Amino acid sequence: MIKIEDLSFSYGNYDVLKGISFKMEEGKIYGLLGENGVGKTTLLTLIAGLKAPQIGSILVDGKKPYDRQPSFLENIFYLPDVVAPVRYKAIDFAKDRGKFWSKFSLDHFNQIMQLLENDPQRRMDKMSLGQLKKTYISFALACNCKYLIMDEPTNGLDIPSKAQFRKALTKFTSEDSTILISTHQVRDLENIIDPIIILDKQDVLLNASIQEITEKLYFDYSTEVVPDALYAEMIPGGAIQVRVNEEGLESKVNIEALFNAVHLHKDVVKNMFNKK
Amino acid sequence: MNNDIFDFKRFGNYFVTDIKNAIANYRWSMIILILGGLISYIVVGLVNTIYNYSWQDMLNGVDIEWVHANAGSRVSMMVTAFTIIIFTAPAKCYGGLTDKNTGSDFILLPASRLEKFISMILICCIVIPIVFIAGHLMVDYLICLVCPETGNCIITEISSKAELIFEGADVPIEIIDRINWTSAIDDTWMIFLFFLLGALVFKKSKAIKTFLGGVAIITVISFLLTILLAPTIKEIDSLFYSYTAGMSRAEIKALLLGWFNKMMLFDTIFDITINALLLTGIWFKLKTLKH
Repeated sequence: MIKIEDLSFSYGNYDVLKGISFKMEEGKIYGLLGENGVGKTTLLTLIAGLKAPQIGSILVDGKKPYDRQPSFLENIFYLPDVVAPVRYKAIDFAKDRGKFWSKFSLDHFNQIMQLLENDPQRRMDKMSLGQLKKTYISFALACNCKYLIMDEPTNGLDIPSKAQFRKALTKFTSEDSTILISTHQVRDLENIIDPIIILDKQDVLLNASIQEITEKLYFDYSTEVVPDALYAEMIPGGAIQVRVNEEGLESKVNIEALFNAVHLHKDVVKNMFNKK
Repeated sequence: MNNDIFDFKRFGNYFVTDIKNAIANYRWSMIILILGGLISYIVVGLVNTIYNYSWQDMLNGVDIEWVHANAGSRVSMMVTAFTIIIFTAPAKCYGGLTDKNTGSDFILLPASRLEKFISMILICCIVIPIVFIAGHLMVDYLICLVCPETGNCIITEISSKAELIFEGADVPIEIIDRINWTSAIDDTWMIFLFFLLGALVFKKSKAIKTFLGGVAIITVISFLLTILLAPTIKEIDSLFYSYTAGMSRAEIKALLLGWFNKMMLFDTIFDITINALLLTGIWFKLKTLKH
């Protein structure tokens, strides 16, 4: 379990995270959403151990990430937004680095590379941005870590690869893995991420499962615009509206609409989801 | 030992990975510098040959004989190439740690800080110098094998080190015997470690900034020492003569050897202290590396 308590972090005088607390449970794919500059990447790097918390604590299975103990590091893989074009063939990179993650499977690496239509014999510094990203995604999934942290994993991927990525993510991760994905491309991962965490400047606006969200909010795809909707947007063929689900109706979450509704009514949503 | 602190198998794996990285980052520079012996043989030989003959001789079709580069010029080239290695290898091999992508990759690779630290020091202070010296001496040996007229190869010259270095200098043989080659090695390590620390501290122009930093430190220390010791240095001759007045030549020699031994001891302690400080600095930098 990842436990974050009263976490604060700033760059000089600029506060990014302030008094953030939440938990992440095993076996779930968390979607981390937020506007630019709210500290999503900072939070991910703090969880991975690349930075030290200035105030508060992060514990991953009781261990402090910043201690960077090998027993912690081999249970976690952090895939940054921008990856390094190292001077190796993809297969050699995987063989060489895979030795450090005890559950790494070269067979899985090759399978995922094939699924993403990527050539493992190609040198990584000769790859395009998308091919390089796919190589790292293949490696990240083949490491079979308990914790997988991904920052904008679908950036740079072509349309077919996005679908293959979703397929690989569900096929090649074990059931007890905790996956945290930060993304702006919510449509790429709409049917995969659950729960959803929405980060705001110095605050967590929402940390709820899809079920909890649909219990409290109703996503109305009808053509009739309702005045008390938290958020309404005209789309071709009708509208998408987010309303308080007073009648207990079932609906399908539209993450973009959810995000906008939460941002327009921060306190309302926070109070709604903080109620036990 | 705790598995999170040091594990031999994991260290072996990490060391191999680190060596591969060093090869990927520095192989061409190393090859060029190793071949520096051959390049210097050709260039020095060419310069010597041109210098030996006038244009008139050449125009008159005088048989031109190739003037071979002697061991001294080849040793100079080796020392120059080795200096370039000391200045550039740490930055080329480990400078990437200050870069966000490469540095994150380094931090998150599941090996302990101690394993990463030892591997880094071994590569900089042992592997790189050995590869360069062995490669350069081999190239030099091959040159001498192909062109016997060029004389002894460097390795043969070094084996008669006293004659090579102290030829013509009025140095008592007892002092030559006391010169400790480990002192030269730990001095070399000191510079390697200094440049390695610079590679971890500076984000850009690492080798130049470290070099300038070193020059600044030496200038400040020299300035302070000059201020402190100037009065003593001015009177050193008279002090020495008054101290040794009435002593026999043998006693003065014994006294000088005693002082020399103390100097060597001081040098060893100084080198160990500075190397320990540099190692601590590198360790601390690795510990606090953030991206």
